[in-house]
Amino acid sequence: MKKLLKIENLCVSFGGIKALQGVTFDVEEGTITALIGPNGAGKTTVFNCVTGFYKAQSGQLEFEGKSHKVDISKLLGSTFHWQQLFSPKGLKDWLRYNVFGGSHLVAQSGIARTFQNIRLFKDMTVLENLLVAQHQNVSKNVLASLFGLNSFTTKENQALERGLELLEIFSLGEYRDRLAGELSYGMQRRLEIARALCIHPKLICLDEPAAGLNPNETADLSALIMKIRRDFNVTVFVIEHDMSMVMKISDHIVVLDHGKVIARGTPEEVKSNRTVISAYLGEEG
Amino acid sequence: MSSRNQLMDYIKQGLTTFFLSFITLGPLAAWQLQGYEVSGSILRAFRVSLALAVLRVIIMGINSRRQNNKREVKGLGLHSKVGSRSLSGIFQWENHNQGTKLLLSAALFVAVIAPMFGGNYALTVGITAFIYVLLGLGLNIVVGLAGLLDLGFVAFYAVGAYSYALGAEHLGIGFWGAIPFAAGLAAFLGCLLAFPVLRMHGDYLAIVTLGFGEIIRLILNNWLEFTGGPNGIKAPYPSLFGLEFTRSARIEDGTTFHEFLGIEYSSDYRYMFIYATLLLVVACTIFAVSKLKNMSIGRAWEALREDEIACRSLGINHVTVKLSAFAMGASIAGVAGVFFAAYQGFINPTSFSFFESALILAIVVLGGLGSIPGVIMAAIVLTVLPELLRQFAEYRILIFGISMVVMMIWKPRGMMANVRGRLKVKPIRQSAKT
Repeated sequence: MKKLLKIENLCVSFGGIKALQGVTFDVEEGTITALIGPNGAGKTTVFNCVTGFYKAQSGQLEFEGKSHKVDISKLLGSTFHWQQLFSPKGLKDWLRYNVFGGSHLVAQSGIARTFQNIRLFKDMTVLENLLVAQHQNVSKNVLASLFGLNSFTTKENQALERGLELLEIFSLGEYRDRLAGELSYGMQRRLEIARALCIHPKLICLDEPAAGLNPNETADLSALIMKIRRDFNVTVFVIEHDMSMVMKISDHIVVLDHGKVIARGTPEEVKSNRTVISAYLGEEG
Repeated sequence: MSSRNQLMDYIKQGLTTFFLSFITLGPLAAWQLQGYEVSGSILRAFRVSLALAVLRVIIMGINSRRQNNKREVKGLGLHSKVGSRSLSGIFQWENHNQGTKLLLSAALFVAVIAPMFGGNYALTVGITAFIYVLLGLGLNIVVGLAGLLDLGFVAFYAVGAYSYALGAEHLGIGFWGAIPFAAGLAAFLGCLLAFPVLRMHGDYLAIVTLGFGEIIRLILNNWLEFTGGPNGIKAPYPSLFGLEFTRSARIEDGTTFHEFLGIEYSSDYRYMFIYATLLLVVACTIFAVSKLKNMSIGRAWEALREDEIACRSLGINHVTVKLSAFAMGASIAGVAGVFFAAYQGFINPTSFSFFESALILAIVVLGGLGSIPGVIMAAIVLTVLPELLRQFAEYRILIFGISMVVMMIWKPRGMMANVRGRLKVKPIRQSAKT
């Protein structure tokens, strides 16, 4: 199968703490890949590197983007070398990636994400949350927007259609005009996933989507994740603590402990792996 | 195919309008009174009808460009149940409730007829109020929508005022040229300020913008040769098509407004002219700003206020979004500055102290962050009330402070809190579907 995301030898440290020490694994296209591990193993750090919120000290992050192959760490800019002053291309690249670059370029190349602590636009309506996410697809021509010309309304209507349709799929249709902050916790989780899907991603990274949900809601969420993979043709990369859910939905599991990959494979392989068991339950005396 | 049909439609409508107006208006338009003689010319009737026909076609063209707003939702076919139910219809945003609309139209009506009764003094109060409405709307973009606390907003106001006064002196820019010039210059300075503060939030941002405001004021105060320093600088009175509003023309062979119309000179005309132009500018600004909310850029500003990290995770470039907010807000303040200079005829740095920034911020906060009718109302209240309460002038700041505290306790979201837009989906009639 085609590799969508290639992570090689990823190292990140915060001061003296080595959060990631040479993490290497791939995410294959069309799969649901889960990243598990005890608290503080560095799962969210991996996520933040993949989505461009942290810059890795070393290592390769390659993503098969919507149009071309993307080197994620390059999008975040690099330190300035004085030689760049003398080459127009170098200077242009530096300006492009350091001044105007950042994690939004990663998102534009096709990686969407949700957050561990939900980050919705709480004072905006549910529908507006989905419209903001389609910023890249709507007309940015201010004059056309002011006078409601065709070029604006066609795209605007498409964005509205997609938003409304996603709300129906995520059973949030009736809450369209409510403020996002007023929704219940489970609905907010669903809305955040819907919002991430609005940017037409190839890879969607879900950071603990089942945290704080009851078993029924978790079961619904599992079904929903399977459904979005099928209907939206996206690859799902998920961090989760709920083992029953992880074992049920994922095709591939990567286990992380103390910033290192200790096991990878299918759910069955990981379940019977001795290192994984000892990492979770502690060494047997 | 459809474009050809459309062309035929235009021609048909144009011809119909032409003949109808020729028949109905022709007899009237053809006759012309010259002295005591009445002369008829068919050419005149022809011209009037032709003009009407062209107008008709232009209106049709504009309408057809907007027609597409009314289209049916087809759906993406992802979900079989969707598309048939609630989604069919015409999309329409409802941003205000009926009361607000009524209030705004009433305010506009009062603004149009008030000068007829109020006289000179009412006009000057009205001009001040409108200038603060503009400033409030500008800062509302930066603070209310984009959530960037700006305590040095008066700097852009000063830039607008000085670019008119200095532009007239050194570059020969007139009143009308100064409006886009000041807007552009203020927007540029807004971007310049925004760059270093891109990574700042809240308190830090407030301090830096405060510093920026003071820098501009100190430059204006101390650069004696260029700005005139504390002595200030004279700003020319505005003109309309080259007609000046002065007692006698300052340029050679120039005509003044009252000479041109053959009426008695009065300083009221100048105020009336500024008032009318300002009303027009305010109306245009309100129109543009109220549309912003349903545009991609306005939504991005609000999203940035809510959560910058989430914005970035959705592919929104926070750099350009912040720059555009600063630039847009600053350009509105720049325009307000031009009007201030044109109305005062003289400007010096004391008009652009920190107190002004605080007043504008108070307007935005009291009115309701992000709420356009609220900001307009607060601007009018905060400029008109001090005029009405002249006898309590000494207690002005005290009353101001108390009212601020009371407001924040009773109505923390402002006089008229920001109302979120609701999407209305109007069902389409069956016949329209075919």
